[in-house]
Amino acid sequence: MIDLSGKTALITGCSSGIGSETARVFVKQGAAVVIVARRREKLEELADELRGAGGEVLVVAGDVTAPDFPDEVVAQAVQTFGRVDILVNNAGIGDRSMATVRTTDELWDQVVAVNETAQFRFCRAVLKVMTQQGSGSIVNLSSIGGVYSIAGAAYSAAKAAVIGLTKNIGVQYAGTGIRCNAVCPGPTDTPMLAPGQEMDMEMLEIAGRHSDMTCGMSEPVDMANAIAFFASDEARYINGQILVIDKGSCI
Amino acid sequence: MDRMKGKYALISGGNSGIGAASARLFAREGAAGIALLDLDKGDGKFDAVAEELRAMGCQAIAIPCNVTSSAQVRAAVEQVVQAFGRIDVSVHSAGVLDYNSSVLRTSDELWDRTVAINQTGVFYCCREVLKQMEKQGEGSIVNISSVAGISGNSGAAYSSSKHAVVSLSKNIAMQYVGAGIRCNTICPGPTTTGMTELKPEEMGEDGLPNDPRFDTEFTHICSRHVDQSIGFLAAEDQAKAILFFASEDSSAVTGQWLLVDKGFY
Repeated sequence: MIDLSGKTALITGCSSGIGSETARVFVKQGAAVVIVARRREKLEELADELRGAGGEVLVVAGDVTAPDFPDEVVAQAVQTFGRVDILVNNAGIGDRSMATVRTTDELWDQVVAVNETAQFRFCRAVLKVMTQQGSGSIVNLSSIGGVYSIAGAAYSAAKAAVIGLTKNIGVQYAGTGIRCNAVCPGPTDTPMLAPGQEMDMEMLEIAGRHSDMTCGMSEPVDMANAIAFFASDEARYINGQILVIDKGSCI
Repeated sequence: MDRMKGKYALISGGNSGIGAASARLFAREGAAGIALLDLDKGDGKFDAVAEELRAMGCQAIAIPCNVTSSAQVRAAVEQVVQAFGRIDVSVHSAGVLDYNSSVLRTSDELWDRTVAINQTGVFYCCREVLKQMEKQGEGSIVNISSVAGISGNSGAAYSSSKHAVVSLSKNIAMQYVGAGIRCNTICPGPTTTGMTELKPEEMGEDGLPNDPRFDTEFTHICSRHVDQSIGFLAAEDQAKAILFFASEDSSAVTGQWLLVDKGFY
């Protein structure tokens, strides 16, 4: 079993889905967790559950797109736990599969801000601490949209940018104790894909032709397990790599 | 010599480097009209490349346009449609360097500027020309990414934004499969252009830039991952690959990226 005992992990987007499930898996494996999301009540609920399971938890509520927020979160994490060993850059939003011609400036800017720029700022913030420690593992959440571009225009672009950022950090710290990898979930049963949103049905239908739709959705725990692997010392020689987790629907 | 015969092209970043080299090649290959979108630097040379193209018998216009402005891109594309009546080919080459700045040396301002020009600017251009290409039922878009769009060997913001361009291109290609509109990406290796040109005094003895704006420590790390002996390509080398994607020679090719780097990566 993967062992994260003694490690402190900072996880964004913990109010639901892959983020909260990753926090559960990490606590089970012995990590102290800093859980981050906008909605404090959701975080407190999760924190109660995690503490009930024996976990050490710090709750930091806020907006990941606020320019100073990542540095503030890292400062609080260091104050509480003394270090940050793991960053899971998970907070993200969907773009309702909007095709290029139907993507407004506002939708583009919002998706780039949350899915791309916020990940950059969190990486920059933890790297200041990780370089002092001489160790650390960053796991960025990209998507099959970032590899196969089967999503909306803004989501495909921003999630690919995350892959570029991941490889870039991988190059920079190659051979040091700091690593950076990305996990690319396929369709996963989370609120991001909840029904009732006004989707670009034409684009969805076209994208659907490029993957095996009979594979169905994955569960958040499947992503959490892969994230835990990359985060852990089991993956100590794996750096700058991109892993797709989609049951093989997009080969 | 007529691989662009009768075609109308738009080229962002068309007044210099890879954009200008493509424009000249398109004109030599018989393009009917070429619109060059670029920043007006106020040096009196804004119309110079267009003038050259006109001398080659091509209907050419230079339009001042900052690609980070959604409104300016929209207005420029409308102007091109008004002038030419159609856009068969659109090449998006406007881009900036981030001086190989590593994550820790990338300020919010450098990040935002790089993403705005290299990523959002390409999106704006694609979106506006696609409106016209949808009406025509045909068209070929060629986006310019970089070797950094495939690897991580450059600045953090540059790698991220250039990866986004490859993905945006694949996304557009997928949308128009079978609809007559194609979208492909060129990933240039180091190429001598206005963007990359350094004066001799700005180059160090190790062949890496001495320019104080460069993150030399990280540039050195990046250089370990590539074959530095390759040297720089010419903008014309990129133009040849762009012409292939622009022309009917690649009529069955869409959603692809091509590394043009002499084996640098």
